[in-house]
Amino acid sequence: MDFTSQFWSYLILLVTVLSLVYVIVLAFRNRKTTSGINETTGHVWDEDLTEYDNPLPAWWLYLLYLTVIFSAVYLVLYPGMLPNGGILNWTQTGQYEAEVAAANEAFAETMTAYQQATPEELAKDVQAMKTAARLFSQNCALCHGVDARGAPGIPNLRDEDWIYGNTPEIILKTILEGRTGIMPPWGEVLGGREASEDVANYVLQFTGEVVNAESAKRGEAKYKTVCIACHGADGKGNQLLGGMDLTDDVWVHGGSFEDIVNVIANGVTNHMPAHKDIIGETKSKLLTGYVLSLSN
Amino acid sequence: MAAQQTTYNYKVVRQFAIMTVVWGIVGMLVGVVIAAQLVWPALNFDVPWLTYGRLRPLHTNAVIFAFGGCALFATSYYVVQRTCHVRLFSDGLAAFTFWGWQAVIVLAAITLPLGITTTKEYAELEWPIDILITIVWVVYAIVFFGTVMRRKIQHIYVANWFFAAFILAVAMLHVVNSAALPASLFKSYSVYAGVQDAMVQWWYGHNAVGFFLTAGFLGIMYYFVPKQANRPIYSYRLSVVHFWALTFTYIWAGPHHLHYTALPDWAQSLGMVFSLILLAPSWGGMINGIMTLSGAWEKLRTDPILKFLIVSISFYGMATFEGPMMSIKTVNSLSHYTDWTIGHVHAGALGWVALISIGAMYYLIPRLYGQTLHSVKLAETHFWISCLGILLYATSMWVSGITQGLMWRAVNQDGTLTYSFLESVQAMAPFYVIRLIGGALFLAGMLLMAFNLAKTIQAGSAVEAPIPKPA
Repeated sequence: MDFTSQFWSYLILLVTVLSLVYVIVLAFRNRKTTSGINETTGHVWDEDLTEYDNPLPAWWLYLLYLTVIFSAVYLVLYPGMLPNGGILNWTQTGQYEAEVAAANEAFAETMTAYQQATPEELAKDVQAMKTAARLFSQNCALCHGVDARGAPGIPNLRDEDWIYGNTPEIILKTILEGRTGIMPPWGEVLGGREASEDVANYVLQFTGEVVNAESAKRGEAKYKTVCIACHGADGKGNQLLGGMDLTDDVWVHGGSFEDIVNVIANGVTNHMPAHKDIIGETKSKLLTGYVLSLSN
Repeated sequence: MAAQQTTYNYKVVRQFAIMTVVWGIVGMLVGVVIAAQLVWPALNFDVPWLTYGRLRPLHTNAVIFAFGGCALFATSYYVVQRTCHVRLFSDGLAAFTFWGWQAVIVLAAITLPLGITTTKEYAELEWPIDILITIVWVVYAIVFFGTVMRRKIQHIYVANWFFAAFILAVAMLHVVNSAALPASLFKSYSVYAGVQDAMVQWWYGHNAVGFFLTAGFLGIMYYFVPKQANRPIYSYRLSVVHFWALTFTYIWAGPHHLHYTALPDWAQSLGMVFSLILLAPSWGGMINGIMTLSGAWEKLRTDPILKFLIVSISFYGMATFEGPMMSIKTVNSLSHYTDWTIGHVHAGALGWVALISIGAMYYLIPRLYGQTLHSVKLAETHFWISCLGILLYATSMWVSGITQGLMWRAVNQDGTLTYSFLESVQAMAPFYVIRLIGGALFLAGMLLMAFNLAKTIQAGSAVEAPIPKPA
């Protein structure tokens, strides 16, 4: 049933050619009138509805012929009537590849220079950063915002908080390969809503928030058996694992007591897509330089 | 019973005619609301039912199938009776099509804002409603063709060919495109997958334009233009040739909606060339309409109905020239996905479909109620407001669409895109305001018409028109 089967191509070719031939023959046979100009056919409907039997306007008929001839030629030159595409060997994939090749060649000089530079060097290159800013607005701004300050659930790229670290190598890796951050849902394991609230109270102590001390105390034991693996005993997180720092004031998924309880109980999965196949290495490197330039 | 066979069934025509005006106002009001949302996004008030994504299909369905559909039912029932010199095949079945079609519209108005949708454009209604549509449509076909078969005049009038093609083609399109496997009462999955689904969808989508919005409304033109101008149709021959040419070529034009996609190249080529061939068949209708008026041009000065009809034919000519041009791949790569498409559609929807329906309603309703139009002056005002509205709408969308297309493809010296998407959205703002004004003017005209026709109906009373004795 797929269109990739030649059967459809032949069937539709047959039907379309037949219908075009019919239309042309019909038009040709009716080109002249058998009665005079402005003479009615003699039929009358609804008391006074009549019709003339005037000939087809010549310009109209030629317009019809012209479009049909153009179409026949087009369908031979371009994919249409012949089994293996048109005489010109044109395909849309071919057109796309030719355009990409032409663009790569046109911009080769600039891009080769960027390819050889390090992200730190690029970050100091004013011209390179203009290019990078545009790449950012077209590829990154959709989630991270035009000003790179993030959004609920999306990390801010201008602050000092780095989930995976901020060396050029790590940022480049994040852009090229993407990241999938998983905070598992702990509600069941911890023992229900109240237990999650206890842990949240304990976590809030890291930032010095006034909390329910009794509840936090209960939470501490649970934190030290479950959460400690990724977030560390001191709550400072672990950049190797992407365990977030809980001691600063940055809360990607919301910093209210309710927000924190929800993340603990229900978990959250976050995804930064891999850009290697979308924009390639050189542009990723430019963007790494751009991200570095934002925080420095 | 005897009285029934000597008069036409005007009751169902009156019902559909009134609902044409009502649904026209509703559909266009929703259109104005979503146009305003594009200027001020806060106008959805954070209520899910009022968001653009849900109201937009409500707008398109209401305007095409509620407004356009009721206009087609009203006029086809009127025309088929009067040109066959016989009462409708069955009063009961005709009444069923009226109430059935209204039920479909009301169900659409409830389910679409609730987010219940198949997501297929212009075919968003879920499967239970699709089944109801099919039943109503089959009954419509029985009433229409039953009436034609009982005709007292041997030759079938040209308007009826177009109505017939419209009824048959829409039945086929609807059934094939809506084929789906139900998963629950409000959810189904299309039986086609991937690019086949896209192809079937646009085969349907473009033929909805071709047979619902073109063939059906050409049927309206072929009756109301010669009637109102009191002139014979310009060329019977031309009507035969362009009818068959239109029917044969429209059916293959759909793939031009899928240029530069996963659709195989040969199918794209076919869609493009058939769209180009469509130019002449479409213009055949325009020539027949305009040339029918030639010799009665002086009537245009005083007759707002003729003004509506002639301007609608002109817009038909413009839109059917623009369409083939936009289907050329090179042009399409600029115009596709931009507001140009929206402008093109509205030149057709407001300029052609709405104006000819409005002209037909100004013609019909006074005759259905045996009363001259309440105010010719008001109809005249309506005409000029509508024209101004369409002009603002179409021109702003042309400029906006071409601006978008050019901004999206602009490239810098370093190979990056010159503009981010957001910048192209910001550039649209002034045009969206102009479009909103254009749409609001058109809606204002519809309200004038509603007032004018309501006054006419109030002063008149339902007419029982006698069928002329055979000569």
